Amino acid sequence: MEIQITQEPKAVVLTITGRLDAVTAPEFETTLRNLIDQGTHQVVADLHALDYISSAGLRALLAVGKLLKAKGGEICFANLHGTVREVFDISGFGSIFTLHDSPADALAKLG
Amino acid sequence: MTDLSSELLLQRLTAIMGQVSQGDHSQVESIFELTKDAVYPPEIANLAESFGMMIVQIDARQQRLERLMAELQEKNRSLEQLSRSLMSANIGMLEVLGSAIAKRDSNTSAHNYRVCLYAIHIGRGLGLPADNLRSLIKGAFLHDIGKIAISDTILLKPDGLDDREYEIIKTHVLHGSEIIKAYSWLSDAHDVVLHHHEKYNGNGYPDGLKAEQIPLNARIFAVADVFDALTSKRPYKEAYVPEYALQLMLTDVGSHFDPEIFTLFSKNAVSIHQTITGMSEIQLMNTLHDILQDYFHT
Repeated sequence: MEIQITQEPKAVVLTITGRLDAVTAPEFETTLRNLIDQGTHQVVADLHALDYISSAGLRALLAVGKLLKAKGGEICFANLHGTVREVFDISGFGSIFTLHDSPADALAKLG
Repeated sequence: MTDLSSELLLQRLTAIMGQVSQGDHSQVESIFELTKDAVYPPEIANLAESFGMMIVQIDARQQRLERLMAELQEKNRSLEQLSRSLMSANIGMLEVLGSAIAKRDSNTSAHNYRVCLYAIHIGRGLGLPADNLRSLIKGAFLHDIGKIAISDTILLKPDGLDDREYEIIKTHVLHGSEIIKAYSWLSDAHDVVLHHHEKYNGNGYPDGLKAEQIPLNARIFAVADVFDALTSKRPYKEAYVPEYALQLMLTDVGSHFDPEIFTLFSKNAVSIHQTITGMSEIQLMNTLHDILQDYFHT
């Protein structure tokens, strides 16, 4: 897994590439915790290059979502596709997180 | 990987799931550890992944629920705030209407305030539930609202009224009833507004109701209204001392007044009168305002 971080005026955009599973989830959580500690409250995760997400990956997203919510911010997602979208649907993430077509769309919605 | 290690891992997974099913999530990390398919046999990793998805789904629902609860509490708070401001608006309107009626035939609201306080005193003494007391207070405030519809020449006539004029004055209870019916929050003032001139023996108006046929709040209010009229100065009479007022009223017990209500009131009437007549109009208003806050903002 690779995480590319782009600082936009209203949010940090993450582009996650590869697999988010039990092996990579700790790294993902650490990266996000650092961003939050540095003052990030709004995160847009671009998932177009995410090949696979396991239960451990989903769990990490939940944990990060909860942290951001407590800070008055949130994590939202863009570019869900294929099996990743299916997994989001099955796990009920669609009703917790906001899903967007693109990062640009997500940033626009942040007003 | 040997079959044995697979066997052991399965036992471990089974044990953790047993704990989770009992509500113990302390070992849950191990399930996600076991989903690493490069490390553990595929049958173990697949099983762990299925369990992991179950756990994530439960966690997701939990989070969803927590958010909904937070939203609900937030909405509830704003609803409570809205309901408080609506209630304040209603109470304000009650006070303003009460004063408007009072302005019609005198330059003070003091009588209106005093009868409210006497009526509340009796209502409490009888142990009325808060709902009935609220209706009694509204009724007391608005009892003469129908006088708005009576012409000045009759309402403010300094000397006695002839029969025709008296018949017109009597219609104020019907006008009052009509006025308050238009607004649901005031409609429970109806008993007092329409029936406060009924008499216990059936000789009152507008319906000639007798005894228990007269709504309780109207019977209570009649005692308060007459007591205050007797103990107040009027163009045609001085203010009577409360003892004398009670003595006069006693002759009408059973004909005009409900005996039980009068007996209860007469026990403390002198001391209540002393408290109430000692107050300025502003003090009366403030006292009443505080009581309204207590009864209506619950």
